[in-house]
Order: sequence, then structure tokens, then C-alpha cells
Amino acid sequence: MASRKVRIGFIPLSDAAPLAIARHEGLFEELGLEVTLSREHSWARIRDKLAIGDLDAAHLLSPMVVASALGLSPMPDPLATAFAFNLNGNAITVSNALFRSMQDHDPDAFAQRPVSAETLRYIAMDRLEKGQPPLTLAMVYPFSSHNYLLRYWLGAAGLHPDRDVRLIVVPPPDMVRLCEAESIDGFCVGEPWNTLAAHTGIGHRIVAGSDIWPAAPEKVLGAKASWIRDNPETHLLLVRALLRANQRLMTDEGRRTAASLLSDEQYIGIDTSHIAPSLTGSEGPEWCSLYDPAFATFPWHSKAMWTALQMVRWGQLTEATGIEAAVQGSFRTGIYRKAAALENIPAPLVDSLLEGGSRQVRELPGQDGPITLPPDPIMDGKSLNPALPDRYLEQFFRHSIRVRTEDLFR
Amino acid sequence: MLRRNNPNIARVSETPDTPLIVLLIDSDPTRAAVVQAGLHDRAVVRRAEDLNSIGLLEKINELQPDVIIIDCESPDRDTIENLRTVARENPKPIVMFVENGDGTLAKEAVRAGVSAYIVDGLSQSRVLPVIEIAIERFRMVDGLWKELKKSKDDLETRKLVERAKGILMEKRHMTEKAAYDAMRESSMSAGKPLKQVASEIISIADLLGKV
Repeated sequence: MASRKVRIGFIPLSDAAPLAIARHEGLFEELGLEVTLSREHSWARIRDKLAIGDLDAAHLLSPMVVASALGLSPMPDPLATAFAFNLNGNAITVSNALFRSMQDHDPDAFAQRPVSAETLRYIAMDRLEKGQPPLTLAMVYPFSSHNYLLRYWLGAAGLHPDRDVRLIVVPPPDMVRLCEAESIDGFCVGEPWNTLAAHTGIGHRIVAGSDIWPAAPEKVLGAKASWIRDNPETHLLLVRALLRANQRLMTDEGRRTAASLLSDEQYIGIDTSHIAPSLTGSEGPEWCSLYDPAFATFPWHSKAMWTALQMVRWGQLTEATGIEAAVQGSFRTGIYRKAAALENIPAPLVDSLLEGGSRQVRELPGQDGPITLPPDPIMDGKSLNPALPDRYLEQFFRHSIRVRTEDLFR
Repeated sequence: MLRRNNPNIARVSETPDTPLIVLLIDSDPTRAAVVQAGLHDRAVVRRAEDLNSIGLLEKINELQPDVIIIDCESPDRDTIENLRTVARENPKPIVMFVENGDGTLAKEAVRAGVSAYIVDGLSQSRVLPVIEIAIERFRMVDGLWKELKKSKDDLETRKLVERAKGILMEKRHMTEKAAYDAMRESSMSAGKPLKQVASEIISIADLLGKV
């Protein structure tokens, strides 16, 4: 079989693990793929390279695909995905100084789980009243789960992220350094950067992304929709190879291997001891992503819908473009099911789920047997019923909605 | 050609006493030197090669540059891109360096809200025209955006006023003119925009309709 050449971009993060495993354990080769991995410095650059064909596919923030399908991202040709690397894997870290102020304000600030942003609200207001610089929190990209989870957490405590604090974008590898310099008061970033801040005594991991929502969409394998259309076999093989990689990540040994691979300079380039906790769970399962191919890798329409609604909530989507059609066109569940069937992995038969509203384990009918989903209660109980998306946004007190919500789902 | 057709552009570059402020985010000293030489008496070029993210944002705030030039491989791309999505009130034209022969990227970059691009190997004499084009294109797009927003607002106001008028005519048996005059008067005496008065009438009617 002739080998098929594919160039895949990634950002140095723990959840690039499936790519590292597939590359080093020959999972691409065994399916006849010749893959080159390319480490990139910015999400904007990855998007540009996909646009011009310098990359065929990439480790992408799931919201980047949603934004592109909604026409929010400046690309003439939209992105699509048929495979998610993971769910969760982010955390909120605060500087030592902010941690102390929170404790001074309320000795029990960290007693509850998830830690509430309530204390932060007093500190933010106090700074504004005293004319001090606003509380500055960093995240990684305007279209990212980091942005939406951080805003969700702030909003749930009555803070308005566009008014009461300053939110800025900082590249992940810079977060720790800027926090140490007290240029920022805290950040929401993917692993291993929260763990690195904790291990080096620079900051405190106070909230895990999974504390906010235990099933938040994270990275996907994204490509231009036109590339998928023109290279259907190659794309299917890629999804199969990554499903195999994710199965390897279901074992302790696979996760330890991934951590040591990722510490190499060509990936993240920091010591394995800082990367391992986010893969092995040695410091708590909440700092880890979910990689389970039974449910975490499926391109759920309902999660993409949740993401699109956050874009509405925070004023990024200002026009009533067809959200449902955009989601259905860019999250390719059919391709996923085909790949999963070839790998004998059960795939869900439905495209959408109730998101964030389940306190119990759920069982779903799957292609090759039932699928068990873990509970996924979102922190403020505001779940998304994908059948009634128009009611979802009515629940929020804090928002920057700039579109008539009744026009969204006509 | 562009300069001859556009009086604004002529003003920008032909008044040496108000130089452009250019912020250059690039770690390549050779390229920076070309830009600096190409702009020497027209612009104040400030380099930000040793700053990132927050330092950069502070620099932008402090300098209020007329234009930002950034290397497409810079790790600060996402920081600058976020400025475009959140800071609608104070956007800046952005010029991007792209590597040689990357013509498609250059075209994409222009669509991406980057206002112009500089391909590697650019001669000194071309720097100023490229920056002028960037500023002009940016003004054009920004102007269109503002105009579009205004016409949308106008349309929405008109729709709301029509609905509120209909409510007053139906529930209060007013003539169309009387309904409109009542709204105008309420708007002026309360110092509220007409749009707000109309939407208040609609929400009160909705509320009363439900009980």
C-alpha cells in the first residue's frame, strides 16, 4: 500500500498525547499513514496553516471549529472534525498573592468544591473602587473552552467578565512566567501549565475545569471541510489511528509513556514529573482529561451547540446564523461511527445529549453495545437540552448577548 | 495610484510633522532594519521584540500605534488576535510578515482582519506604501462595519417603534399619529432613546398580556 502523507500541527500541551503515542508507537504506520507532526506557537498560526494547506489537520480547540462553521473565524473554507482528542483537562490557577487575598477575605474560601469565585468578586470590586488596576486573568484564545469555562465560573458568582475583571490572551507557555512576575493575577490554561505553576510554587490550582463541568469539550482533530471531502480515506485512517492511541491512553502504562514522550523538546520540553500528573492522575483525577473512546472522542453535536451558545452569551456571535446547521455540518458523527465500527469501538447512536444535567451514570444505546456515560452536572445546574436550545440562554443573569435570542432558532 | 486617488492617504504620508507610530513585533533584526529604514522620517518605529502578551498590551495602550506589524510565526499572534475580537472600540490595523512565496497566506491574512502583509525580501522603498495601504484598507473596513452596525440599529429601532405603535393603537385606541407623538414625548421628557421607550411598551404589554 502506498503511504499517505499527512502533516499535523499541534500546540505543546498534555492533550497532544494521542498524537505523540500514535507517532512513537507506530499507530499511523500500521494503517499506512506517514505523519509529520509540526509544533506551532499559536492557534492563529495553526488556523492560517490549515487555510493555506501547509498543514492537513491539527490538534485544535473545539470552539475554533464551531467559530469557523459560524463564520466567526476569518477563513473562506470552514473547518470540520470527526474526532475529539479529549474532554476536560483545564484548570484555573491563581497567583500566590491573589490566593492570600482570597484567604484573608474569607478563611473558608477554599473549603468548598468547586471553589466559588464569590471571594474574587469582592477583591475585583475592591480594586475597582480603590482605582487600582483591575483583576487581570489570562486565557489562551477567544474561541476556547478556557475562555468559556473561566467566564462561566466568574459569571456563576455574579462577576461580569467583560466589566469587573480584565481578560487577556497569553500563550500557554508564558502563563507561569507572567504569574510569577505578578503581571497577571491568574489564568485558565490546559495542562501541564497549571501543574507546573503548582510544582514550582508560583501559583495555586484552585479550580479544575472538570469542577465547573465534568464533560466540557476540549481538543479535536480539525481539518478543512474541503480536505476531508477530498481525502476521505486518509481522514478515516487518521481517525482510526487516533482511536487506537486513545485506547492506549486507557492503560496506566500508556499514560506514563505519553508523559515521558511529551517531556521531549519536540513536544513540550519540560520535565516528565510536571506532565505526568495530568495523565496519570497521581495528584487527583480532576487534573486529567477524559480520553475514553467510548464517549469522550465522539464529536457530539450537543457539546458544539453548548459552545455556540457560549459565543452568543458573551457577545461573540452577533448575528442569527443557523447554529444547528453549522454544528451538523462541521461535527461529522457519521465518519466517527464508521471509524469506530472498523476499530470495534462502540459509538453512540445519537448525535446529541442533555449536557450538564446528569447527576447519575447514564446508559446510551451504542453501535456495538451500550455506552456508559459518567455523571456530568455543571456547577450551577444550568443544563442544555439540545432539543430546546432557545430556552438555554434565558437562564443567565450575567451575559453580553448582542443578538435577539428569539431569532437564533427559527 | 492609490495615493493620487485618496486624499486621506496623501495626508498621512506627506505631512512629516505628524509621523506615524508603528509598533513592530518581530524578533528578526534584519527585517526590522528594513522597516525602520523604509519609514525613517515618516514614522516612529518602536520595537517590541523582548515583550510578550501583557507587556505588549501595555505597550499598545501606551503608544496607541497607528499600525502594528507582526511576524506570522510570533507566539503573540493569539494575543493580538484577541484584541480584534474584544476591543472593537479601539481596533488597530495589523500588518503581518509572511515568508517568501506564501502568497495564499498573504491573501488569507488580509481576510483575517490583518490589513496588509509584507513578504520577506521586501525592499526598503516598498515599506511605506504597504503601510499606507494597510491603514487605508483598515479605515475602509472599519468604516463599513460601523455603517453596517448603524443601519442595523436603525432598522431595529424602526421595527420596535412599529410594534409599540400597534400596541398603543390597539389597546389605547389611539390613532397612529397620536401613538407616535406620545412615544416621542415620553422619550424626550424621560431623556430615553425612542428605541428604549418602544421596547418598554412592548415588554409591559407582554407582561400584562400574560396575567
